[in-house]
Amino acid sequence: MINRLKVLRAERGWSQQELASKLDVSRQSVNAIETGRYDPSLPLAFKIADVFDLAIEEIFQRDQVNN
Amino acid sequence: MSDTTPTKRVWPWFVTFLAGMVAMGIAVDVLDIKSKAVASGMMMVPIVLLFPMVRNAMSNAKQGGSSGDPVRRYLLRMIVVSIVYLSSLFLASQLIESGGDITPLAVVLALVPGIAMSGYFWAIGSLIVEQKDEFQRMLVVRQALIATAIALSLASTWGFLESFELVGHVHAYWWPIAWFFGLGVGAIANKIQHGAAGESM
Repeated sequence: MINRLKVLRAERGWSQQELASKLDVSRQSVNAIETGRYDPSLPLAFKIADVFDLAIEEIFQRDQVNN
Repeated sequence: MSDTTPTKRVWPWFVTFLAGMVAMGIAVDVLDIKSKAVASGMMMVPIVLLFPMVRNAMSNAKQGGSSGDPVRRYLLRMIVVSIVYLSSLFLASQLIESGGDITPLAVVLALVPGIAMSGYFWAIGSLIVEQKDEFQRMLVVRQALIATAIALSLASTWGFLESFELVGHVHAYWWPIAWFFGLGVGAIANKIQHGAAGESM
């Protein structure tokens, strides 16, 4: 799974720590998701979508290789 | 916009503590220290290295906001368990005479360090239950699984070697220590695969 988290965060001028605070997770969690080292659960993905006021599929997309 | 909130190092203190314990063990052996009290006292010295380790871990947990709360509770539990474990071990080594009579007091004194050791597993289990940050929780679970695989593999391999009299006897309390070593291996595996060690390392 790939995501646009880093781009979306940069567009809003948020640091990883600020986004982590909004999601009530650790900064390491945001970093792991952004770098593709961790795929969030569906509840966390919904929470991320809510924070950015976007649909989940506008943030997370299927990896082309695994499509 | 800074993405790199400085985190204070924990693992170098832990590695130094382990090295200190090994060094003191060698020193007791090489210097042929006969007094149990002096030997136990020497083994307690490296414990001072745990204070900066816990201080840094607490500081990191505080930066983690609400996801750091379970880590702070975990560290406090580990401190309490460590105090009970070390003091009961010290008392048992001082008061139980090798080859002496089996008394109810001796049984209780010998039981307490083992029961205190199980407190470490309770603390780690509680951390897994209480941690609401799913990524952090996954890291600890991975660490525990890797540690379990390493400790049980070592115990079973050594057990068979020992039963065929190919190696000497190893006291069973070394296997939980192997498990804690496995936690360290798990933290390294986490760092490589997921970019974060877990368990506030």
